[in-house]
Amino acid sequence: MTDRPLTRNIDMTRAPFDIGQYRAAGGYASVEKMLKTMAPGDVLDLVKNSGLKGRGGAGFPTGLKWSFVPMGENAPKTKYLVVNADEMEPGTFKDRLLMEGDPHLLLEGMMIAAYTIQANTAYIFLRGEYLRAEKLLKNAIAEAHSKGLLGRNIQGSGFDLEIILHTSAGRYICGEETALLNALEGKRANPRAKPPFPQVSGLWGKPTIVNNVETLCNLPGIVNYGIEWYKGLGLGADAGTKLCGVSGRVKNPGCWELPLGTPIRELLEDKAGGMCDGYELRAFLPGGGSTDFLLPQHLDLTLDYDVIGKAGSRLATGTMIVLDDQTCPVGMVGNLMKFFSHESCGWCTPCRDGLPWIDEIFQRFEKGGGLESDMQVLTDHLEYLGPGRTFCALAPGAMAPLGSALRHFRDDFHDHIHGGGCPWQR
Amino acid sequence: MWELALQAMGSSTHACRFSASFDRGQARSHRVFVMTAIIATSAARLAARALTAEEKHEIDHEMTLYPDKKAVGLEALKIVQKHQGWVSDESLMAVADYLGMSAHELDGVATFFNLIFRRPVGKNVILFCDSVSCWIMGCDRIKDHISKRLGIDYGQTTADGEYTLLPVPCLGDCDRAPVMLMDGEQHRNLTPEKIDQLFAERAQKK
Repeated sequence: MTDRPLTRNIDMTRAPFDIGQYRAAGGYASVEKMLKTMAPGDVLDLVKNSGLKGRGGAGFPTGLKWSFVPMGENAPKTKYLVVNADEMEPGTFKDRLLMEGDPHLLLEGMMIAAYTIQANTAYIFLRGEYLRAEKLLKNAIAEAHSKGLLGRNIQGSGFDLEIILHTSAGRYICGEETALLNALEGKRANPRAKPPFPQVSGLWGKPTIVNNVETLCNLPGIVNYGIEWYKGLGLGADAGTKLCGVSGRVKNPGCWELPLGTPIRELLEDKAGGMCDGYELRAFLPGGGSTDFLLPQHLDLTLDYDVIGKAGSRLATGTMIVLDDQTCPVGMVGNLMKFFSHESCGWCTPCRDGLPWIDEIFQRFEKGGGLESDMQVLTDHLEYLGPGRTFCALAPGAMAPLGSALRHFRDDFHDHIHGGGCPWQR
Repeated sequence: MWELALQAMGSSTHACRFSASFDRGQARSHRVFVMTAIIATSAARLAARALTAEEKHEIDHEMTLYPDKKAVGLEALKIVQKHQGWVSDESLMAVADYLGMSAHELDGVATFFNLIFRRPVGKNVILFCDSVSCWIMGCDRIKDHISKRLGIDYGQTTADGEYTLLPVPCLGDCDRAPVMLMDGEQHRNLTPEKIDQLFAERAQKK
């Protein structure tokens, strides 16, 4: 048993475990146990009851997601598991740690998920820039093959599985699961209308589960040690551990595996060492670029999906971006708007035209030339690009830091508009 | 002819990352670009080049991994780019022929992705992260330093053809910002001094 099931094998000062070392450390035991003693339905129940929520950002219950896949004799024979390893959320660097630190853990998790939905082909959709992860995963897949953990009739169970590594070529929208499926089919990565959901009609129209890297890495522990252990890892309402990162002007930026329910203060002050000397905390984005700003008064909140949600933001990827008192908040949001504007796939009008408009306004704020009426235009965009107005969550995600910035940093916007540009650059 | 016109439009819509990378901040002028592109490409008749045996071999291998040939489009473009440095119109048409796709359909894919280069690039492409954590940690200053040292801005290539500088969204190394990717190697915690040292070392190696 371990209290760090995701990172127990990870030591970034050395190469990750090869398959021999990984097995010696208890690796692939969950797959052996599963194939010998569990039916797919048993694993589904286990994961459902474990309380595991998706770690890619949305926090949707994993077991529930899987339960929509048609099973049984009348279900389509071909199904797919797809790993979303297209980590591109600004400020997010957690899946990289898992893939570079312990690639076999991901494969083990994939085997569990694929077996549960009875998929015989699994694709890893890896972002093109993650070259080290590509090399390590390729190698790990070959190792698993050579040991009979992949391929036909795995360990005499009758279950077949091939894992195929697909490397993308950089585009944030591919993190959206239906856009990812289009990309994997060789199309432009525009999101699809839902329903139908991928669980019913996904890759090439077949039932497909798309799970995040970290989500899948939770599975071996759950199968090995059970629900009670997994729930016991969390300190609050949510089960398990979470990779949590901190970037920005802190003494010791990094990524750690923490029990869900850990106070944010512990992450920021104990793990990340607090703010750099001479800097004060002004605000932070708790889970990547598309979350709402939280303030120092929120530091005693715990890292729980609902707790952060009630405070008006999202735990999302769990990687916190810190805004200090000597960095311009308008500039920071402007940087995010430029990113979202650039990464909009152009499929639907509000996002394609709205985000460049917002970007243009922020550029004017920066240089001088901002208008008081711009504030109303920005406020209007919060609604026009909000949930339900677009095919996917990119635009609503972009509105999260914008909306909260308009609430928290009104004076800074005012300074930009009436002071002839960014006061930090004057 | 119409296909070429469409192809040109494909590579110049605002949503396309290729043009977006090179013409950053000028998204709204794309319509003008479309018109000039149509006129420009109508003048020249392009033909597909022959794919090399090596390229075909690698693309064939990719085809075994997917149930549909079209799915290999991006990989095939990456393979071509690996061998040729970039994806020319002739290369694009060759891949499209090989996969049984129309050139404009494939160009729609090619221009969608940040890392497919539809214009020639330098021997070394510097992918410089300009996203939020790197921005907070002062990446603008580092970028200016690189620009000054190499004499190029985003989207440009040095006169000797050695370096192309491109912005890239968050490289997922935010605890070691600012960060850039060059030659498959991630360079972290960048400072002007580190940049100087890096280029000096490379100049020595040559």
